[in-house]
Amino acid sequence: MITLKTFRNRNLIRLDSSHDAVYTEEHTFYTLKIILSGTATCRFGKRKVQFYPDSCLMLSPGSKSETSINSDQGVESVTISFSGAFLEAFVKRFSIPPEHIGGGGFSESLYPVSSDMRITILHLKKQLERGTGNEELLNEYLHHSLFNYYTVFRREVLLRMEKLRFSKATTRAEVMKRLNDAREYISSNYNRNVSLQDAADIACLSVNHFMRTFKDAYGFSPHQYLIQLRLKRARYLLRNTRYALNEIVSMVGFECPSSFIRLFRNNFMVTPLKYRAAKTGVLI
Amino acid sequence: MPLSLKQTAQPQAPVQPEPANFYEQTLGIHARVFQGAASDPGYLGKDVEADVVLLTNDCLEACFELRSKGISFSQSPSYIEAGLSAVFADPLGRKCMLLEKRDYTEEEEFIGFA
Repeated sequence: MITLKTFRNRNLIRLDSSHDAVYTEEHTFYTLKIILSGTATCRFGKRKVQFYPDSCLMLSPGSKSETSINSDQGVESVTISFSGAFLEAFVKRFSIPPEHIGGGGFSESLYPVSSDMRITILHLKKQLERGTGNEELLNEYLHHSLFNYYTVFRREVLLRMEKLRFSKATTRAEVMKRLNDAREYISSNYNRNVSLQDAADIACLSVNHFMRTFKDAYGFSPHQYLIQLRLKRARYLLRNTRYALNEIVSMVGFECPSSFIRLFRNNFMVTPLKYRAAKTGVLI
Repeated sequence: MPLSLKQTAQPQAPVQPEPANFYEQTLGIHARVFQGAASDPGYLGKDVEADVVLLTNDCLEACFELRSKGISFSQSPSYIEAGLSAVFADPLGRKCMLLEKRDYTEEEEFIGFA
């Protein structure tokens, strides 16, 4: 099911709910995509990313994207396009430096979703489902979605960039962009065998240089990052789906259930099944 | 727009006629509920400081509706530790905070990961 809403100020919202679909879109403006449940594959430019409810995707004006959904769980997604004038007013209001927008600012990538962003978008969805036609109110939600995204972008890119040990700001920005590409690659392929060499190749950095700068920016080595991501996604699946533990173990890319259980327990101080029982009340 | 009153600085003090009208007619909260309101907003979050705290499930929506009734906000919806809040004054000049409490306990899970 698709709900489309075009605003007088040319902002656009699209709600999708589906089990099986492929759709392509051309984006005239900066576009934010978020998945509320399930998982989807998204192609844009030459990239292909696996999209989960823990991440959002920002696409640049002029880009095309293809979203593929094939899931026994229903997949709900929200797409918001911010018109040029709307974005300009936003940037002015918060005195955001122009280099944070054009040159890699709102650049195409996957970023983590914050609780505030998720809540704003859920409220917006509720208003649309209720048939609220007041654009002034709906634009308030769009303004806050953009603000929530910018908060995440600041935290995930601008502040991490400051942690890189290069004296020139342009070098920091370039290395951060490459690290972000590698992080996105790890995140999209997290359940396969991701090699350090492949990730370093994506970043166009030597393995040693990549490992050191990645740790400076993210506080984890690439390997630790991958393990943490697998554990967090396994935890999400334990809480939100009914897949058996062994299935989840292989879905998130661990080979052996016993090492998964040990890592899970060491990280979250609880075994996976006890965690599921506590969160869902289901004993399996 | 259901609002619920959570706190007033003087829970026992009778509400004056004019603010009573304001609370009942503009905000839709019966003055009686003032009697039972808690007097310490601290439990809502350490950054919640106001004479009157009104809880809402959707701060943007509540703020929008109150604005359409002529209330002007001294602070537009902004993010604080407790959630999303906006501030206006009642006819007696008391600081009223509209608060949408948010749970950020899962936030940590997502920081740095996507």
